[in-house]
Amino acid sequence: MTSSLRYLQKSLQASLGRSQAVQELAWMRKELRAFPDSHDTESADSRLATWIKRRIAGEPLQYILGNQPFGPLEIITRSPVLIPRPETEEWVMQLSQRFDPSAREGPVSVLDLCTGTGCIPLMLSHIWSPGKVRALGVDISADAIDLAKENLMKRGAHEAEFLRGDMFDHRFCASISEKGRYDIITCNPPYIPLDEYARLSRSVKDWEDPRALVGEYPVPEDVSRNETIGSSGLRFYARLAELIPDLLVQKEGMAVFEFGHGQGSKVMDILKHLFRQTELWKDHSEKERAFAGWT
Amino acid sequence: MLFLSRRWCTTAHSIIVYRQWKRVASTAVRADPSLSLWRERFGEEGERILKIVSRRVAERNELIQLLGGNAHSPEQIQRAKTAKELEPLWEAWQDWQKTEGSFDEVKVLLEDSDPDIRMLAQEDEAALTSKLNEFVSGTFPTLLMPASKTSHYTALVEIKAGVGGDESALFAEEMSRLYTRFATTQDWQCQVVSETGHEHGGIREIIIEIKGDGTYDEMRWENGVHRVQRVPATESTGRVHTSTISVMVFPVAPQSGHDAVEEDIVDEKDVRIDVMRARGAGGQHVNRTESAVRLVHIPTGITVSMQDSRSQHQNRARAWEILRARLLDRKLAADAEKKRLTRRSIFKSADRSEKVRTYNFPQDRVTDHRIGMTLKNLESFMDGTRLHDVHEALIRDYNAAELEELLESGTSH
Ligand SMILES: C[S@@+](CC[C@H](N)C(=O)[O-])C[C@H]1O[C@@H](n2cnc3c(N)ncnc32)[C@H](O)[C@@H]1O
Repeated sequence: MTSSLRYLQKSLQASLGRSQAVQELAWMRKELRAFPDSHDTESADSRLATWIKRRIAGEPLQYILGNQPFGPLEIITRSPVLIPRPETEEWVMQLSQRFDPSAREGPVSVLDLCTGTGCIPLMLSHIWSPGKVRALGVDISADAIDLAKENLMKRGAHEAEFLRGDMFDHRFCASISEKGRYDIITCNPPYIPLDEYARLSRSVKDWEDPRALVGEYPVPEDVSRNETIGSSGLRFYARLAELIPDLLVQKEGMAVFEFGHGQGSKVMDILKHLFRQTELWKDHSEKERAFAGWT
Repeated sequence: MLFLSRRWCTTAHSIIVYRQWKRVASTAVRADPSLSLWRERFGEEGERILKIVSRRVAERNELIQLLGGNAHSPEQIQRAKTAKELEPLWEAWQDWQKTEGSFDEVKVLLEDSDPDIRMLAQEDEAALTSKLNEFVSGTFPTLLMPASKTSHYTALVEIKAGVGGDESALFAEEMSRLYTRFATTQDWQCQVVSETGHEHGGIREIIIEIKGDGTYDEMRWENGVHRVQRVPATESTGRVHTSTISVMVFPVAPQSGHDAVEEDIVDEKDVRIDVMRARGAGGQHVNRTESAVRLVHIPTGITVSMQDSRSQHQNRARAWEILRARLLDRKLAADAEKKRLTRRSIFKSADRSEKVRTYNFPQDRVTDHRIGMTLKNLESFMDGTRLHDVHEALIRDYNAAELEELLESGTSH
């Protein structure tokens, strides 16, 4: 190992803390082995050095390595499309267990609004038997739609379709509802209040699209400087409440939406009246994390 | 052939007579086991084995009698199960009795007036005797041995560097390679579950999962402390160092498919799950990869931490697997201890701090201390191809002790 590499590792420890740095280095090394020229120590070392430098500069590890495990899948990640979070993985897993597609005739239709990398519909169709799902993923960001399509191709499957569009745009939503209603609607909308957004770490703010995080529509300009303006971050749930009656099947449909810490009861208030039965699901740290409703 | 020797003619004639005689004898002299002088013929141990076998066979026949009809009571099901388990022994016994019958016939012919017939009978006697001896010393003891109750388990092998610093870490890595190669020769699948490297090369700790038929039963012979003696590459004086590593093999119960008949060893309510990411808001607010998971089994205090994967989901699944393996290992150890106590057994209780093997590089040999077995050519041993030979010797030794135990108590239950 060259001395410059050793120096970089020390700096990484300084910026991440010792144990996190050791762990991330191990993951980088593991990922390096996947490269065809991994036996060439020189090129491996120089790649590692570049990665460490990027990490020290605050870039998220998932963008550096270019992927993130999500349930049984490995999702391609690229800035500025939001990196899939473990909390999302958890409720998607729970949804896959609570809904039984085999009880239905023909494939189940899934609409995923704010699809980002496409991780949610891709994981559902991976877990449920192939051909059992017809999914549509929607996102306002062209980067997201491109990446979602890439992720679909990586799976070599055709069970999903990805469309660029704005869920606040009436004409766009009308065009979706023309295709018929959906058995399942999922959404992990941006839900961070403006003031909280201002206080997030640089690795979130500098690398992930504000439109993927801030629960406002439209997202104000100069978003990182709006430290004092309070907002609830709940703008998207109100819109979802408008869309559900037209988009979800009226019988035996299911909707699951993620929300942020402490937003559970408000999200429940906004959406409850649309469903026959509702639940709030907790994540691994016992925080309420997702709303589930059944028609 | 035109030219037949007289000797041949007599012999041919004798064979015919001999065969006829045998047929007569077989109806005249019915083998009567009570008359057989088992102790005289097979020794005290042989007699004891035969008595156990005949008792078991009688037991089986009784069960079959009781089984008539199609009652499906738990009692009947248990009977059917026991009878089925005794079937191979019963079959061997049929075979044994037939052989005993022929032996009795041949004994009569040993007294025949025709020397040729006597000679043929002698040959037969020798062959039959060795066949009978094989029953007593091989077939029956094997069939009497209680079947392994752990044969459906796969193995989690944990290797930890111990005394000896860098050397020990290097050897831990070599041992993990040895097991991986061995697994390949057995057509088993190997997967590294978690691994902690050592700063100066080698491995501080590694857990390998070995999947395949009977992997636990085979790998459990590796449990214990392994000692390596050699001159470290960094040692300039050429002095031989002694380092150790420890190997722990845990059983993994089949989780899915038709094999998953066992009750789950762990009650999820007894487990506290700690997640590193639990602090703070979580969700969209945080994008740091904090996937470490820790499980604490409250009743036993067993703690399993897993952080190798970037997926919390995967770390969690693996942590559960390891926790289950630890608990199952405890249960097996407790069962074995109970058995040991009730049978005033000659077996030592399993001791993981026992020094089981020494790898001596300067002398190019490996010694298994449990059976005092030494193999030359360490390099080829580290290739994994000869590990099974050592296991076989250990199993033979274990079976011999089991048999002794069996004979002393007169039963295997
Ligand atoms: C929190 S991310 C969720 C991404 C992905 N579903 C996941 O769980 O990892 C929110 C996504 O919503 C998209 N988005 C934001 N505003 C939108 C809008 N008005 N219509 C459609 N998508 C929008 C963003 O581009 C972003 O990809």
